[in-house]
Amino acid sequence: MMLPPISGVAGTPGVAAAQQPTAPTAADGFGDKIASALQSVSDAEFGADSIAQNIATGGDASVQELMTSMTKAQLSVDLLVQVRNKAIEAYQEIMRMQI
Amino acid sequence: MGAFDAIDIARSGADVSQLWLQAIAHNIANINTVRSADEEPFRAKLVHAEEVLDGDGVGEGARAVEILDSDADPMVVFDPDNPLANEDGYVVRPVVDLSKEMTDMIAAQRSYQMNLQVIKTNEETYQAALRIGQ
Repeated sequence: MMLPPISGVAGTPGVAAAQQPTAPTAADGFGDKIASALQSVSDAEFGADSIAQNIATGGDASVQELMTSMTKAQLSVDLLVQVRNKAIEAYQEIMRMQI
Repeated sequence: MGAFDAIDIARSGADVSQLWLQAIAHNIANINTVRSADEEPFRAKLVHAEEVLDGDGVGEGARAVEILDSDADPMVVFDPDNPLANEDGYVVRPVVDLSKEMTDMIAAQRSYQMNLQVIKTNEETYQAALRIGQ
């Protein structure tokens, strides 16, 4: 009896190409800056994801490479969250102001 | 100079330590690689590490530039029954010093752990900075 050979997994979607963050200009408002920061955090996460995928599929990336990129992505997220918290705190402080 | 430079530098050190561990694994795996005395013996592999310099700031870590062969003298053994022996009955033992490999392995493991500790300390420092004002 002939067994069909195991075929490779086809059509696995790759990690979407990360977009280049746009350089902030003087005219950019706070929203644009946050959007740009979000984009860099997202890039860091995508980078860590692609290394994780490389390791999971038997690539030549090292564990320390994966863990450092994940740490960096995590710290970037923490920083962004702190900036957001400060901004919202300031906004609420203004909104509570008695006129 | 980026915020995560120290993490990248420590990672480069961990990469070198990992390559060193690989070389030690290769040397120990070849502890029984006997060859005919007419051939070049197996020689222990040594990792040549070098610092990576940055133009302005401190360095950018370490990197392995090449893999070198040990220069130690090989041990030629009279073993006429060995099918690998040359016409005079000699074989050559691999140039691997097992006690040196074992002590190097401790050093390589500690070196890897040290670099991971640097990464951990940096992460904690960064998180402490994020708690400013709380």
